Amino acid sequence: MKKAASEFSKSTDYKKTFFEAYPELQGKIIVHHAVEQQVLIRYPGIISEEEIHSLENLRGIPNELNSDLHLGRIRKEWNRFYKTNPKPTKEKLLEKATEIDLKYGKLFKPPKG
Amino acid sequence: MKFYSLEPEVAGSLGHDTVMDTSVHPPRVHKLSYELEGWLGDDILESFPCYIITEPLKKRLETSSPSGCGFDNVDIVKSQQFDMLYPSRELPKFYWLRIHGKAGMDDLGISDDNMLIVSERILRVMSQFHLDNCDIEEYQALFKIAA
Repeated sequence: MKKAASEFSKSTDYKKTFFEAYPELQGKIIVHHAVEQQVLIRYPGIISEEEIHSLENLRGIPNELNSDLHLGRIRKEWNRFYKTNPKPTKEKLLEKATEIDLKYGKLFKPPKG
Repeated sequence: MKFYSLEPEVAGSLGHDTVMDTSVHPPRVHKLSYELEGWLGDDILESFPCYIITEPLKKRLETSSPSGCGFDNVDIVKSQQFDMLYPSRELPKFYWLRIHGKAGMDDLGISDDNMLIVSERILRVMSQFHLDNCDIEEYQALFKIAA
């Protein structure tokens, strides 16, 4: 299984990072973090801010799908993960992101998983 | 009495001003900030290990004197994304629903797998509010019988 990669980005302006790579998607998608930003608070020291905001960790969710997909299903999946994983490794976080990519990634722009 | 397992809408995340001890599981939260990233409109929201409720639901719950919970203040922060998605949305006042009850015994409790468990009596109260994005299942407690 291919894992969601996490690379360093010098910028924490993640929207700029995403739209520089995919300018044609400006206004059409909501930029979402595959591994959520809140892991920085929940699991301090496991993953860096640069990794969280790197292009490899960003996903484009079409505006018309955002309520249903992003707000509903994906956030609940992560919440369940936090309940059952007191001390995950970085690997485990990336595995979860990959699992979500495999479930919903075909709907992302550009597609993932 | 029947009990139910609730998995409420997750409308955001713990905000940066949350003060909590992450060396224990579930984390012990001393001060709660909830960052709304979107809100589908439910009256009870979750971001593990915390639950927040709207003021109308809080007032209604208080009249039922439920066991196993208390109420506290929460700072609600709207994310940039929230402002973009809902530029003119008015928010109700929210309260932190602090749960300390035993699952399957008190009106509100937390199970061993960190699910919110509520009594049938309290679910009836909650059902008068918006729970459209809350998954609800009957709770089956596993009791160990001493030999």
